[in-house]
Amino acid sequence: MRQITFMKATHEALAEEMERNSRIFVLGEGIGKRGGNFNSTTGLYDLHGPLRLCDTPICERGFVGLAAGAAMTGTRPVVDFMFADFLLDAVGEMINQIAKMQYMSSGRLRMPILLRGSIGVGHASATHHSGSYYPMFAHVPGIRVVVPSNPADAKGLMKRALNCDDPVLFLEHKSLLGMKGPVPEGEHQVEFGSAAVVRAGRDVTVVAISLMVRHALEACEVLEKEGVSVEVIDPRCLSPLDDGTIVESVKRTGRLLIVDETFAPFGVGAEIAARVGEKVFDYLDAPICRLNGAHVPTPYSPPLENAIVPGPDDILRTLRELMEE
Amino acid sequence: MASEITVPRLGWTMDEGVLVGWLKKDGDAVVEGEPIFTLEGDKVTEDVGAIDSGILRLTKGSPSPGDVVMVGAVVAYLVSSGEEIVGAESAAAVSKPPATPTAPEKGPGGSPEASAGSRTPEPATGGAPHGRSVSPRAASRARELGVDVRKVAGSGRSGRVRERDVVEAARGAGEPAVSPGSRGLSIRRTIATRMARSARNTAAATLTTTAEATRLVEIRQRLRAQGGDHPTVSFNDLVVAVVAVALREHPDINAWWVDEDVVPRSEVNIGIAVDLGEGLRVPVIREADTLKVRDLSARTRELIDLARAGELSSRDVADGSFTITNLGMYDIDVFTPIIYEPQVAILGVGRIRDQARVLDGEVVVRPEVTLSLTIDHRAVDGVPAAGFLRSIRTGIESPDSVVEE
Repeated sequence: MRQITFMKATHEALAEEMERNSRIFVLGEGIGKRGGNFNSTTGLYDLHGPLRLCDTPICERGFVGLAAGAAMTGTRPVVDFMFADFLLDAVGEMINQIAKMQYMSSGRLRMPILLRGSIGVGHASATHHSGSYYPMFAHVPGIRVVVPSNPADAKGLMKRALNCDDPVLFLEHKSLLGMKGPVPEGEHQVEFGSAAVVRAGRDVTVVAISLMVRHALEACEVLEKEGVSVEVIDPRCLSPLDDGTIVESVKRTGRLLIVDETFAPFGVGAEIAARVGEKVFDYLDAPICRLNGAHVPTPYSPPLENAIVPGPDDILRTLRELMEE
Repeated sequence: MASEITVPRLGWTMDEGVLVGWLKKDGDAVVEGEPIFTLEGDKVTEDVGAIDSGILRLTKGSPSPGDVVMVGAVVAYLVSSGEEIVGAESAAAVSKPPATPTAPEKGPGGSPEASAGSRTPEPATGGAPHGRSVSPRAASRARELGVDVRKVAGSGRSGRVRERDVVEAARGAGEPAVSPGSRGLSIRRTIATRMARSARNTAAATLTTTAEATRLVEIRQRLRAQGGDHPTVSFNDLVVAVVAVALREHPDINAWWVDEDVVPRSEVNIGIAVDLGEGLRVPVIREADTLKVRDLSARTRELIDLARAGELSSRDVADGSFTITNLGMYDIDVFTPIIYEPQVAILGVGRIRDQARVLDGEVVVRPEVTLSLTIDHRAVDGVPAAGFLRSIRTGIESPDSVVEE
């Protein structure tokens, strides 16, 4: 299969769907002629013009409110936040309006809005351009939260989002955007709430989110040589979360590590640990373990950046410790 | 206010130890500095003193002699007279301090902490309420296999019984289970952990060479003849003296591997592996490069005697920058020793024996010794290691300057 980058894969998904469905339009800063800070809309302005690639001023709450209103009239807005940190300026619209509108209208209004932005620590982006925040949004009912870890899933999930009648938060890790991988051509959709077993193993289960999937796979290579067989699960979608795949895996291995770059307190790891504890407590052979980014604002300095997020070595060490438990 | 008495770390690699015995009873008045209990660590056994005065309170969770205790675990309390301990019933001595995987302990610390007190930064949690735990999986498996889980020895980090322990117990049904706290097992376990960890972490490569030992044998005979009241200088002492000089010339070998980097040590501190029958001890000859050979020999003898008597202090085994292990007396020539982390190399010394050598076209008989240098290839490459080994060989073949009186 051909290999393309993560960003090319989502671009392809957007381009194909915009071609097919004239109700799709994009809102954001610099997504028109400029083609997006991360090339998310390169070339689309020339094809579809300023009405469908609508540059906005820096006023997140305003244009997300606009997207909400537009969705109610039957269009499919795509809001490109560039950096997910600026979702925070629009949280009122997102949670109070977009996520609740279908419920408030007794199902008469649908909100097919795709909200996308880059997440993650890296590239000396400093604390206002390094956040991820998906645990906050996965906490709220009425919005789907998607965190792909490879180009094929990115394309499949974005196409799924653009054909879905619910609001979807689509979060792309900065350090994955240039990653190449095999991507099917043409129609390819990945269902929400279906986790992928990216590596099968016997001895311990690792659930990793977004970029951490790559790091976990690296650590597994080393452990494989030491005779430890690791199963790696990529949830791909945090809301809804496919806990069934995780639970079935832990039932076999008896050990679970959750690797997540975001903060540990009240986070994804805590949620997964609780569900696993509820469902397969009697199968656990060791305490459930979490590995997270440090609970601090993101530093600007690259060495400090590296120090606060889990890397392959941290995962390796934690897994060795977990095997000793 | 009650203060906690915790298990100190004797040397920076210790994770758990064995409480050998209590030196004070529940209710005894203790004065600051007075020894409270005896603790066996990785390498030493030491009496642990109080860092405060008060009345000693043991609780239900306090360990008994022979129990394995985790570093940082609360083993008892010091209270003022008439004071009750709140919540002490839940203090489980064999629990493990909460793991903080994103903030691992970085590198070797300074001097070992050899006094106990309320130093634990976090309350000990997660242990079993009665000092023993069984994983849920092991418990279900035991029911399934009809194994009495109370009789199974746990191999988990805090002595927790895991699935594999139950499965093993079922396989060997009929054999009595081994108590996890027994002393002999603990020394074995410490060695097992350290050796396996080193084998796993280091990129070990071994280089061997043979040195002619004619001059070494002569010098030893001369020293013995001049000995007088002095105890005999051994071959090993001479080798240590030679290696100490070579280490000073090769700072990248006289080093530790810390945080993915080679950190040269300022002192040449040579560890000597001593077999005690029940296990190994590695006392350290500090600043070996500054000692005259007779002093070095005397110090070595002193350390070996302490090791045999079980009286090595943590300082006697700390801060080694290189290790020498000698199997020559057991007729071994070549072997592949395991590096003593965080050091980056270890020298194995073989026996001295007569060999035929070709010298100026003639076959002559000369004494020889084979040297096996194992390096951690992460820290040291083959060529500098060969250079170091050559320095040792040259030193052994022409030891006069090294061992001058």
